[in-house]
Amino acid sequence: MPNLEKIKEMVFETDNEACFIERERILQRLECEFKNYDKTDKYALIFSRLLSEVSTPIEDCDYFAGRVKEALPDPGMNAPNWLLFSTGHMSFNYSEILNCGLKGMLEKIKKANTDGETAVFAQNADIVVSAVRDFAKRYSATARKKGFDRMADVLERVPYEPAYDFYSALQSVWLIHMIASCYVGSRDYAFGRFDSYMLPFYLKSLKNGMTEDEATELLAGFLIKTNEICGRSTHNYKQKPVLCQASKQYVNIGGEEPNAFSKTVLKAAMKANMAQPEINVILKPDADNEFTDAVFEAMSVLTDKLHIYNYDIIFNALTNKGIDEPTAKDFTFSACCAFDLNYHSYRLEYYVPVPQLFLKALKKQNYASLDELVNAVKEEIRADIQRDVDEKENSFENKEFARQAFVFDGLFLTDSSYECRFACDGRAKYTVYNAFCPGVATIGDSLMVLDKLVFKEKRLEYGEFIKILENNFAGNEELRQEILSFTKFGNDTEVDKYTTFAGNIFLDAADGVSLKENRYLIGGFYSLERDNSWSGEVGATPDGRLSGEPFSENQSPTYGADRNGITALLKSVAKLPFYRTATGGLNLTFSGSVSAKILKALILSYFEMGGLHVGISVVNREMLEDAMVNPDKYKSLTVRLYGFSEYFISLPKWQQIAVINRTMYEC
Amino acid sequence: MQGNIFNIQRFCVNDGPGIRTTVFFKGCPLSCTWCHNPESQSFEPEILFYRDKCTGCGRCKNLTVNNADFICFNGAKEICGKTVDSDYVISEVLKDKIFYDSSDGGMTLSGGEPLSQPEFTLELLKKAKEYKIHTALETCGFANTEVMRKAAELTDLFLFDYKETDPILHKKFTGQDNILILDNLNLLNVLGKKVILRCPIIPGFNDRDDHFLGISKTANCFECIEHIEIEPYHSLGAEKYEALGRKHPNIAVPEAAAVEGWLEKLRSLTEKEVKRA
Repeated sequence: MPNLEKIKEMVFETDNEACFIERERILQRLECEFKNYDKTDKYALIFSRLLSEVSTPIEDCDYFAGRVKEALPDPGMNAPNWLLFSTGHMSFNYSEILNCGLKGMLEKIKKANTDGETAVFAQNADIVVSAVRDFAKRYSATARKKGFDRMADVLERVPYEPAYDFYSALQSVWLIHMIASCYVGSRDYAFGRFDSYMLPFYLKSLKNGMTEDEATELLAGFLIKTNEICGRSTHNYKQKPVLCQASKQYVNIGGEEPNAFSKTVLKAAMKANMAQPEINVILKPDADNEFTDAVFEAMSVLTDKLHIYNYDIIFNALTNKGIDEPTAKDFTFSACCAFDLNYHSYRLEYYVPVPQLFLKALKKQNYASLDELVNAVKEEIRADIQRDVDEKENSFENKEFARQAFVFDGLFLTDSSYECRFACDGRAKYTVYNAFCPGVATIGDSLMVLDKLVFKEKRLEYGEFIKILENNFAGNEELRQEILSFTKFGNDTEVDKYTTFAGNIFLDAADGVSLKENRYLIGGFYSLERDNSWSGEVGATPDGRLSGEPFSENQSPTYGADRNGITALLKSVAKLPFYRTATGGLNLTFSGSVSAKILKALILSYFEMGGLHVGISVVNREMLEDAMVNPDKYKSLTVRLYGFSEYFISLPKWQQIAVINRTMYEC
Repeated sequence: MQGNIFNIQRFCVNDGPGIRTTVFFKGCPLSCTWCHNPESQSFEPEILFYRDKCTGCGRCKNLTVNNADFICFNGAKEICGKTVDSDYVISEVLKDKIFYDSSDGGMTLSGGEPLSQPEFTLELLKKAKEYKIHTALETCGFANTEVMRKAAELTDLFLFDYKETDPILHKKFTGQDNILILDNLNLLNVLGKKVILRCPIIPGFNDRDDHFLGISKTANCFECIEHIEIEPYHSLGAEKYEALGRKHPNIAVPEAAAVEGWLEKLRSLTEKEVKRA
């Protein structure tokens, strides 16, 4: 009998050092076998052999077929094997998979095949699609043997043929997602606009007698399964030796028109209530009230497992960048806080070392005014992003083996696959560069202090202050303490303007980068874990931060700087120029539960003021400190990290401390 | 118009409906033995000194209570209480107007006792009303009846403290009897104001059956009372007693089961909703 609790338990029982053992053993063998094989169907043949040889396990408690058997790597085994791999971080055209089946998609690919490179793509596609069809049929046979007739019937058809109801659609999505993540791919394949492409199948099944409760349970079973392939432990900090290492799962709902199914996703997510998938709600601030209420109700229960983006801000930012309206409307998220133009874009990311570049510019010469300094910083950042873009453009010419001719993911980015090529060659319909700015508040506060002490009050000469920074404030502790006591970004005061300024400096620099046609570069305020991992390479900053100390995280003020409460914080952060960005996130920590009504008021007001995104954690300091000492008591405790939810006890100590050090708002 | 306050706190969600900004007045006519906010009792500014945080830097050696803007870098010393303009208070309150509008929240005056500074209180209420901000007033009820009547005209919701039923014990615990307080509650009832009855329950002082009966009788007889909130004793004020150089009353914090028992008891005595604050 399918059983939600049981499949959940199995997730917590997985071994954090295990790999996908069958894959590893098979590929190890095939690596030798294909050593001297250099024909263009090599990728597809290896893929086909792999899928034909792995077992097709189904547990009694499973709602859907598609599991990966794990075990510790054999001695000397170097898992994962990179014979088959890809880059991940993309959203497939699931609508096409469900409505045409792989069969229909293959026909379109074959039609586009003319010669040369396109022939290679089409030939590989043919072999790969057959392999997936046969793989599903083997799963069907296992299901039949177990007496799971409904599952067996479905797997005889999908994903090769179109899905025909709610259950077959979910099964189809799962098999493709699992193969991409665990067999051939990488981490962070996202489910795109899930509520949009699933709606017709949901409605059809409802019409044929499926109840809402049945739909919710099935979907909860599907959502829990995403936790099986995160490539990361649920307890001590270990990343599994698998392709989808540290993968997150992203289910996007809402957008321009939330539908009848969007609310079912929320209900199922509450029923599943696990760290994955991230429920990304793309919320139009004036969306229908019933949907909005359901979102905040779900947020008050799911806390860190659901987060919300402001649809209007992102849509406007994208159209202002020149992206056409229908495509801009369809944006979605894969990877933490980074956007895709659904399956139309091929995305590249760059974390710009903004704090380092800022200090480099600062120390270059003695500036006579803040404006002079700011121009130097801007140029430093622009040149750095330009260098990164140029490097990536050059790399399009040097594709690695797997991608040169064909890769499994390539089938599902249909703008290019229907032209018989993979989108990673720079010829995607949209090649999008995401440029992330870590440490924006640290830069803003630093500009404020420089302006005050050096340019306005003239208490210190410019060179004198730089010397103090170079000496890490040694012998100037009283000055540092005074600087630390200044009101900083995050308190809804006029000094916030410096962080707005810092944000605009970054975005101006990004706008100054020259791009080829059909390229889009969009900036955002996002640090991921760079606020800590880069701290060692960032010397003392004018805001009183010592060399090596963490700088500000994501869009938040520096640690402990926000002293006027959460409404003041939101008003401050809303002053960042989000209207020019489409990525990044703001995480808020509450020390006690917050009602749906209060969350709704806070977040909708924030969006009204121009806010981009909110994710929350509900935890308190005592609980987290206890969890560090007694992890066994807190197996299911999750917190929001930079752009995703994570089991607290799975984090390394430095990250646990960073979470504890965040400002916690009382409610 | 000027008044004495010791804090303006944004994002308060337990001092009336929605998201609110609470203005804490300095000075109270009562002196409850168990007071949770000892720094609110005196009408004069005071220095709070947190000895553990002091590094002995000496920056505060000439500090007096009149240096309200002094900042100790280590957070060891702070001045509690300053004289401010009503315009300043309202400008602070207005900062969160967007959140009041989206949550049906507003401004709460608390303390200390706002009605001990009647003109300042009335001025703030009047200004808030001019900006269409919902107003709540937390009061111990010990105030001139005419002042209460004027405040009632400008107040949407009263958070009315009810500390002790027995007038003699009331005087013993708080320094004043409850006759004037009950008169004022009666007045709010006559005026048809909305009232939430807030009852601190302090083990060994008022956790008695006759007091619970008194609470329920009051709630039952005054139509104006929307619901009852129980505020079980907590020891969060202990650090502040020490920082003021005063002795903490040393009262035992009630167990969760005891609090549940109080709630149950009250619920059996009144039809009105009984919540835990």
